[in-house]
Amino acid sequence: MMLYIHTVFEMTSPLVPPPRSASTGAAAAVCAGLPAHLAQAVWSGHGGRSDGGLVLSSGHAALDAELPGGGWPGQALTEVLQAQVGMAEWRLLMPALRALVQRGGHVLLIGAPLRPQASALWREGLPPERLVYVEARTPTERLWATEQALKAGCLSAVLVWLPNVRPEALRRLQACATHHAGPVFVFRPVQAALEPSPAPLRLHLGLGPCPHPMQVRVLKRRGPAHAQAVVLPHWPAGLGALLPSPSLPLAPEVDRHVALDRPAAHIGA
Amino acid sequence: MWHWIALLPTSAPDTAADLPALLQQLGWWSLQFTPRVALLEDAVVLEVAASERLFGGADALRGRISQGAAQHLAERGLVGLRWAHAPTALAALALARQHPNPNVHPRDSSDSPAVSGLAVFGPDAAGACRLAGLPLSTLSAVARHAPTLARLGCQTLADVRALPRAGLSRRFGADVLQALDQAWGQRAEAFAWLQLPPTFDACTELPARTETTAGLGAAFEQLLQALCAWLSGHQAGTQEIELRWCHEWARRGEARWQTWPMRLASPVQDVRRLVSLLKEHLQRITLASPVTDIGLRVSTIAPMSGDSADLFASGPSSALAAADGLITPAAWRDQHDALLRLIERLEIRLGPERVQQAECCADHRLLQAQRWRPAVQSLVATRGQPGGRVPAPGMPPLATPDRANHDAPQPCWLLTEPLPLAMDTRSAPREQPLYQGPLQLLAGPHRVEAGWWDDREAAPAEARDHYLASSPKAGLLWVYRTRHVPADGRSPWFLQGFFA
Repeated sequence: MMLYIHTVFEMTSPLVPPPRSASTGAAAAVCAGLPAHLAQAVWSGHGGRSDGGLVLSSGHAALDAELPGGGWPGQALTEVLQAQVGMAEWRLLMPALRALVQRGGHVLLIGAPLRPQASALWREGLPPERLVYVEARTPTERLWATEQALKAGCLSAVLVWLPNVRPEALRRLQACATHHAGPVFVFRPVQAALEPSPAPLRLHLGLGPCPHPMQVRVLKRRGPAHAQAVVLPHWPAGLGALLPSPSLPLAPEVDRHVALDRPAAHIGA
Repeated sequence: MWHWIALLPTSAPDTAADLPALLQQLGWWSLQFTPRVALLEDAVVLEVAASERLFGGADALRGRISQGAAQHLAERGLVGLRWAHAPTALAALALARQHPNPNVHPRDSSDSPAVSGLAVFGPDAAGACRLAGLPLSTLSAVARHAPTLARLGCQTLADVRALPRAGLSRRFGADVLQALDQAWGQRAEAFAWLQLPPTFDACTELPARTETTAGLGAAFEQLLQALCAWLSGHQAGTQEIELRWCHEWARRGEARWQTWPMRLASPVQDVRRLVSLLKEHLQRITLASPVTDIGLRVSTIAPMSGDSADLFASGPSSALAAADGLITPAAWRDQHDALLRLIERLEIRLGPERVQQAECCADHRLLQAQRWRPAVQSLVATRGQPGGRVPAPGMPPLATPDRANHDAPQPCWLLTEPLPLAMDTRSAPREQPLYQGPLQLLAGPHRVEAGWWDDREAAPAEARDHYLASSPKAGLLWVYRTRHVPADGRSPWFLQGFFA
C-alpha cells in the first residue's frame, strides 16, 4: 500500500518529497497541484475505491465512513470474525440487506448455525420469500453451495458460515465472487484473524457491555490500517424501549484475541 | 402460390451419424414454424406459405429457419446444411442437391455451422430456366435412369422433359413423368405430414455395457437432444423427465428396468440446462449392475412463458446500482429465473428438504410461528411479481399473522431445541439463570400460553413466561421460564433465541 503511494508520488511529481507517513492531507495537497488528468490518476489511499466496484451502503454512517468506498463491497468477500455465533449478525447487516431486497435481490444463508426467525426478520424488512436457507452440513457442501450461488448470476447477498476453511478454498471463493454482483459475507471464528485471507475486507464484530452495542473493528481493508473499534448503537425494532439507556460514552472493549499493538493490515493481509 | 423450403443435412464422411434419426429430429424441430413438415428422401421439406406473415416475411422466415437448422445440426455433430426455397417441394430438393457441398472441416462445425443455400426462385421464366438446367442426379426418380437417359443425349432435366411423354412413360415408367410434373408444379404433390408423438418415449441400446453413471451421461445427452427437438416442435417445455435404464441382470424380485424422476422447477426446453442438471442427477444414482439400455420418457409438457424482453439490457450489477423501486419487470424475471436455476442445482445435490424458505403462520409459539418448506415450491409461486411489492420496513402486511403479537420482541435466531439453563445455587431461593455468566433480566415477563388446542405431537402446548435477558458475553437473549416448575428439580429456565 505504502509502496504504491510512494510510487505514484514519485511518478507524478518528483518535486514533492515522498512522505514517510502518507496522510490524506498530503495526498490532497499533491493532487491540488497537478493537472486534472494526472490528479484523476492518483489513487488516494484514504478515499473511495478507485476501481469503480459496486458498493452497497451498510446503513450505519459511522461504519460507512471507515469502509472503503463507503459501504459493503460487491464482487468481493467480506469476512466477519466473531467470538461466537448468534452475536449481532442481523443487526450489522440488516440495513444493507433491506436495501438489496428492495432492489429485487434475495438473501441466501448457507450453513447457518441457527434457524432464523422469519417473522422477526420480516419485521426488520426482510420478507420470508426473499430468504433462502440452505442447510449445508459438511465444509465441502458449504463451499460448493457458496460457489454455485456466486456463479448463478442473480442478485443476492450470500451469508456463509465457514468455521474451518483452508485459505485456498477462500481464494477460490474470492475468484468466484468477482462475477457476483452482491455482497458476500463469510462468518469465521476470531482465531482466523491470525491466518492470511484473500478477502479484501475483514471485520471483527463484538459486543459491548449491556445494552450490548455492536463494536466493529476493521482488521483489513483497502486503505490505511484502522485499529480503533467503531461502536454502533443499533438494536432490532421494538427492543429499544426495553433496554436500559447506555452509559455514554461507551468505551470500546479491548479484545484479548487480537493484538492491537500491531497495525491491523499486518494481521489481515 | 405455395412456398417450400428443403433442408438437406450433410454429414461428414468419416462420422457415423444416424441420419434417419437426425432427419426426424430436424423435422420435429421444424414443426415450430409450420405444421406442414414432411420427410422427403434424405431431406426435410417445409411448406411455409401460411407462416411467412407471422414471422415477418419470407426473407426473415427463411433466414431464421436456415440459421436455426444449421445450429440444430451442429449441436448434433453434423457439418453443414444445404437448403433451397422453391415453389414445389421436389424443386426445392433438386435445387438444394445441386448446390455444392459446404466444404468445411468437421472440427469447425461446432463454432460456425456451414450453411449454403439458394434464394427463392419464382415461377417466372428465370426460375424455370434454373430448374431446367439442373443435372439428372438432382431428381431421384430421374437419377435412377440417368445412364440410359445420358445415352439418349439428355444432360439436364429440361432435356428429359422435352422427350415425348408417351414414350417416356412407356420406357421408364410413370414415376419419372410424375416427378418432373410435380417439380414443375403441374401436378399436385402429396405428402404424409410429420406428426409429433403426443408423448416422448425413446430408448437406445448402449454400444457397450456401462458400469458408471458418468458413462451414461453421453448417451443420455443424445436422448435429451432428441427430447429438445420434440419439445421445440411442441413449442413447450417440460417439468418432469423420467430417466430409465436397464440392468444386465437383477436380483430376484427386482426389475431390470430402473427409473429415476428428474423434476424441474420451471418448464425447460434448453438442452444445455438439461444436460447440466442431468449430470447432477447422475451423481446421485448408484448402479447395482452394468447397464445395457437407457431410455427417456416425458408424458407431460408445459407451455413456455412468452416473456417480452427488456428494452435496456439489465443484469444483477445494474439492478444493484439502480435506485429503489426502479427495477423493470423483465429484470425482475431474469433475476428470479437465475435464482430458480440456482435453487434447482442446490436441491438436486443436497435434497429438497435442505433448501428451504419460511412461511409465517398465525401462532404465538415461536417455533410454530414459521413453517419451512422446499424453496422451489414457494419460488415458483412468486414468479412474475415485480420487486416493488416489498412491505415497508416494520409494517408487515396482512400475510403476516403476528399482528397481535407485534408488541413482543422476537429474536432473529431461534434454537429449534430450547437449551436448559443452569441456575446459580448460591443465590437461592432467588432464581438466577446462567448462560456464559449470570443473566440480567431486562424486560418481562411476556406470557405465552397457547397451543392447548393443538393435538399434533410436534407442537405441544406452551405455558411460558418470556424474558429479555442480557448475558455478559453472549449479548441479548430471549429466555423463558416454564410456568409449571418440573417436580424432579430440573431448571425451569430455557434459552429460546438470540437477538442478533
